[in-house]
Amino acid sequence: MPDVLYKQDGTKVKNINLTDDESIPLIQELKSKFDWVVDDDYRAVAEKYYHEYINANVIRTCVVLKTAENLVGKSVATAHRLFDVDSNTSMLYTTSLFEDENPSWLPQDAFILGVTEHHEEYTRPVNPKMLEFKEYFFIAPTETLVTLGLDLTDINKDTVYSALVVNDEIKSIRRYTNFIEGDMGVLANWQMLYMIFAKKARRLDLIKEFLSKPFLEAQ
Amino acid sequence: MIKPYKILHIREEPDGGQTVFFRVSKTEKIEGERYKTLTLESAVYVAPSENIDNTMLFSLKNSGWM
Repeated sequence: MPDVLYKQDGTKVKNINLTDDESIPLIQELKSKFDWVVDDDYRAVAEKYYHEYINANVIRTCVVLKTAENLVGKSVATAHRLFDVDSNTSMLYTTSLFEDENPSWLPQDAFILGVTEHHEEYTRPVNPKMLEFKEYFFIAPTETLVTLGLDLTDINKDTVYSALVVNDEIKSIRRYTNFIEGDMGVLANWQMLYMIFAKKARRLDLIKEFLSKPFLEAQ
Repeated sequence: MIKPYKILHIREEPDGGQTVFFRVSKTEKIEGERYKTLTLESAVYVAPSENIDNTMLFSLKNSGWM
């Protein structure tokens, strides 16, 4: 699901489809550092950026969903591989529907859509910090977003926010927006994925709660 | 820790070795945004002195699957 990531410090990180020539140097850099990287495993690659928690230069890729699902043995909403190009380490991470109660670190009027699960891969060195945090994707009323220190410039209905969390403590806040066409030309955003996965999980209660949020239309 | 193959079952052999039955999948791009998934189910013999994971990786790489 290609997108644009905005870090808390204002850095903008564009995710580029592998069909776009702009992706070529990024994939070439990955192949030069990770000899097991093959194009067919990826749909998109993001510009290199400095990771807020890992404290290293990283490149994020969108992994073909079926490839990731074969590896983790379950259905997931999204799949990425994060490459630390400073230490030549990597991890696979998947995102699934969030079905628990809101955690204490997030204002109660926020609504969490998904949470990441991080996987170390056999024979592929991992930076231990990659396995320490989780990323929670959420939406919330404007006033709550402001209190979290989010920049609300140029947001739209597709915008979703995320928190990098370690031991119930927010380490950084992000926002994602400008999703572009994904599988089979369908425009995908987090809100749509949430509906699909909540339906798959037969959690109609979650769908009702999600749709009842008054701030959905306001954003 | 995730591995690129799933071990389905292991048969102990009279010589102390093991026959490991496994499943492995990979995705290949057909055209544009279309992909196909290839799944292989097979078995590999692991000698008594050998490690299952090392043998599995060697076999998959040597066969060109990985």
